[in-house]
Amino acid sequence: MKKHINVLVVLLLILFATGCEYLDIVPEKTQELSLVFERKEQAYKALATCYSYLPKSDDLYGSHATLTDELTSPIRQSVNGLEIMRGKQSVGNPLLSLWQGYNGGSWQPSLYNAINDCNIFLENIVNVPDMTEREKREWGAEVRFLKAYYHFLLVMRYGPIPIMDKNFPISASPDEVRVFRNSVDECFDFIETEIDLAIPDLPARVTNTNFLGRVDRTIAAAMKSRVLLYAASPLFNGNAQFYAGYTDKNGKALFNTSYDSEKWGTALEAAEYAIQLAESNGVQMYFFDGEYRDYDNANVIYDQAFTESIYNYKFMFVDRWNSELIWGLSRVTSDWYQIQASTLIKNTAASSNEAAWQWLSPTYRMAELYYTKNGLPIDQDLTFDYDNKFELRRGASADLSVFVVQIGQETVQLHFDREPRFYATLAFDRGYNRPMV
Amino acid sequence: MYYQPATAESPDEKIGIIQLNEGTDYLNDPSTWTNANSRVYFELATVYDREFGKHSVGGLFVYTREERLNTIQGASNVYTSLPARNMGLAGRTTYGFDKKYFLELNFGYNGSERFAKEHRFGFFPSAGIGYTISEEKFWTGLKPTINLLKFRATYGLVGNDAISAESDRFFYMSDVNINDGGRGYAWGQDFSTLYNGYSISRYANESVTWEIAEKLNIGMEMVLFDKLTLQGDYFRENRSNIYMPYEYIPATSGLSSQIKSNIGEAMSHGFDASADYNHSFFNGLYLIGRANFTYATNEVIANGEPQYPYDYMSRVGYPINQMWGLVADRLFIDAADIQNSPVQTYGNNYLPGDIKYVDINDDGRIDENDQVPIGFPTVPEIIYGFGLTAGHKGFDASFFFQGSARSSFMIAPDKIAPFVNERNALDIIADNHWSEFNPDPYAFWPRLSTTPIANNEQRSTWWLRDGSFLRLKSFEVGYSLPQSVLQKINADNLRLYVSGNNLLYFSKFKLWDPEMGDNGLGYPTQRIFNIGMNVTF
Repeated sequence: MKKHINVLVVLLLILFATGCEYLDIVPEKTQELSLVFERKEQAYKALATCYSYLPKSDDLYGSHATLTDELTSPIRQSVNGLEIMRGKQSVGNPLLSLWQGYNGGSWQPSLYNAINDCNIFLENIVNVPDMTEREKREWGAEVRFLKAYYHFLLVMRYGPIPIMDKNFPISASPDEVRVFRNSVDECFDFIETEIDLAIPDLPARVTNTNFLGRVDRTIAAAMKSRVLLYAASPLFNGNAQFYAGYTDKNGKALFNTSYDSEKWGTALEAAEYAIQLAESNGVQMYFFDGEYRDYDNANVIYDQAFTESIYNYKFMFVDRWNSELIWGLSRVTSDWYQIQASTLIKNTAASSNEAAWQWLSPTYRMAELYYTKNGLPIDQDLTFDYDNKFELRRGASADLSVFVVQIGQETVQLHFDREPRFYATLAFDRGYNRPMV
Repeated sequence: MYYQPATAESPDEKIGIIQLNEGTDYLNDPSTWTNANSRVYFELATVYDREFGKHSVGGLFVYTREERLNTIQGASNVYTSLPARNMGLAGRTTYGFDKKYFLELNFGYNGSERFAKEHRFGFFPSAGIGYTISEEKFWTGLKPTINLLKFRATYGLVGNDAISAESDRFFYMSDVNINDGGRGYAWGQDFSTLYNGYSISRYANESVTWEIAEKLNIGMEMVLFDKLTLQGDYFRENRSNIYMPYEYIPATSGLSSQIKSNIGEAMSHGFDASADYNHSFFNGLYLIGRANFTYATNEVIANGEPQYPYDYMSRVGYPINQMWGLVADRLFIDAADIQNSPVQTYGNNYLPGDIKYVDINDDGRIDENDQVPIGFPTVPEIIYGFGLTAGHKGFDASFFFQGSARSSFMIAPDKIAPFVNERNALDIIADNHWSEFNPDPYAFWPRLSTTPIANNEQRSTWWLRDGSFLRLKSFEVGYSLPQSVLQKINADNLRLYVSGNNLLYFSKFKLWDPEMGDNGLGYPTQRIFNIGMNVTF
């Protein structure tokens, strides 16, 4: 009997000893994050991930541009920005929240998510074996800049925010992860310091056409100038009017309340440095140097400066990677919800997908806001018949209207005798649309 | 590919190697469909059973190993194509004395492939005692009245490793997609230097382990006059280590997926009773009666929920199936009424005739912060049934009632809204809706519309109904022909019967059968009638 028990015990021990391996069934090299940093070609994915959080400002549903009174939608569409204008913003379901992430046409994750991935990148980029030290420093500087920029985007929207310089371990306690906000000054200091750390390691200017859109020193300096401008502005500089006594639970003041004129000095320095750096790297005023559209060829003779101004202004926005562009967005939305598709004149022949649906238009205020051809507000220019702005007038070939209204066609007076920016920016009935060729 | 294919330029063209497929140096998700499943089970058991006079002793050891492999649904994920494995050692010792006292001790020591090495095994002991008092000597006088009286109690732990989906079961490993197009970015003049990114859908958590249920059961069994059997049980179950997300981790942590761990805890308890009665009278009349009753309630004890701004939003302390919703006041009377009421944040707009909600937190806005626990849980707390079968000579009849109580449900307005999707109107809506001609602020149906009105489709007390009911589940009457007739037609048995299922029900909710739930236009519960004949030759 005893013998049997002994045999049994030994048998069980053997079975259990092999048991641990029996339960080890996951093979080596399943997908883990460390694989991303095993070689350069993979590390590009980590870099792309850090960039991927840049807000998709060309996504109509995700863009913050629709928050302004410059644009509206003539039909009832649940464009996030317009919904906020309609009073639909709520604490429970915040729209366009870069803090929590939101659904636009596509998903925009929380920028804290972005900062978390930037921190992962900065911790791990040193481990990539097939990259040179210089490359690692360059990439690290790019991501350091992005991390600062994401903080800046949050500060722009929320003022004082918690700075997340390091990621928490998964085992962090609830008290650890429930962080307090940093003051506005601490936030700006952090952002400035991070950009300053990045600047020396960045290339002066990215010229490789395969990598346009990546951050370089010219971009970082320009952004730093903007950051310091915000820090100096009355919104964040001594804003005692709105934020006196604005403290957190511990009584820490989140806004400074005494105005510091020195901040304008540092902002000025940063701007001068940014301009000097940009100019030395070939950034300059844009002048249109392509072909005029057919209907404008005659007009050039009539008033060359006016025609040129229309083209310069319009194509400064439209011409890809032109000389005036400091930081171009290289990841473009190609879906139907791209902001441009919704502004174009309706193409009835196009399929419903990716067709121009004319969802987005300027408000009437914008049509009045542009100046007259004499550079005056339309209600103050004596030569502009403001009271009869809705009367019809026919486009003729004998005056300036040749640029702007199709010859022999009628439209309201409001559309005549306006400045070049008006014609470069707005489309109207019987006007010309100057597309990119 | 570790190395990029080389390209060389000749004067007129580029020469290069075309790489048709790229391999990876890591294990990728399987891309082929293989439909296979297998199960390997190994068991080694030893049993010991012996009686010494009035003592009976038993022992059992079982060692098991099991592997289940199922790739049918596993095509999309490498983890579902891996086998599920369990191994364990279980033991039991029993001791009985004189058929009066019983003792049982059990244990299970189980391992699962799902957990990290240090947390792979769980130890789950349990114990039970029984006492048949009616076997005692002093009971002899009572025996004709109370034939059997038995008490029993069990207490123990039960482990559960199936705490998440198969594809999500390796808790100690992270789940990372290192080739996620959704997280990619493009650079370059033509936006064509495109790289995919990575995404993390689960963070590795080494400490995840078995979910544990602590179970207590105290019961008794009694037989009276050899006719009536009574059983009663009190049960309590405390489940802890429930795998749940840490919802209190704020967005500032920047995690791309929730961290989950064994943080939940819930308690349920209740009692269960049944009675069986069986009696035959001398004159051939017999009666069989049956009744049962169960009461069970549960409560969330811990769930990792975030810090809600208001106490009434917390799920802790409420039943698991408790509903939260707005408190509906009445329908809006006119535009001025809307103007003077708190802003309601649902849908694009709301008009007179739409539901007006109560601003619980008094902040001038109706939103999710105004949702309070409403009604009973969606699962009934009380379930009961009773029935009787009677027979006399050739005739027999039986019925069974079934009922439930202490439950609530919500009418789903989106499923019955008339005119939406060209749907017809239920009578109740046709007869009792708000309209400009009949602006009844308490009409059953708010403003009519051909499109859904989000404001009126919120979960609220407006649609809350009592789910309790009592149903005549079955009814049957039969007649068996007497032997004298059977002999003439040369049959052993012939019975004619009429029966019906679901013949009637009683409930506070009158619009449709409450067992249909939220959708009055759904598939109805069937009422069945049978007329039949059973012949045996």
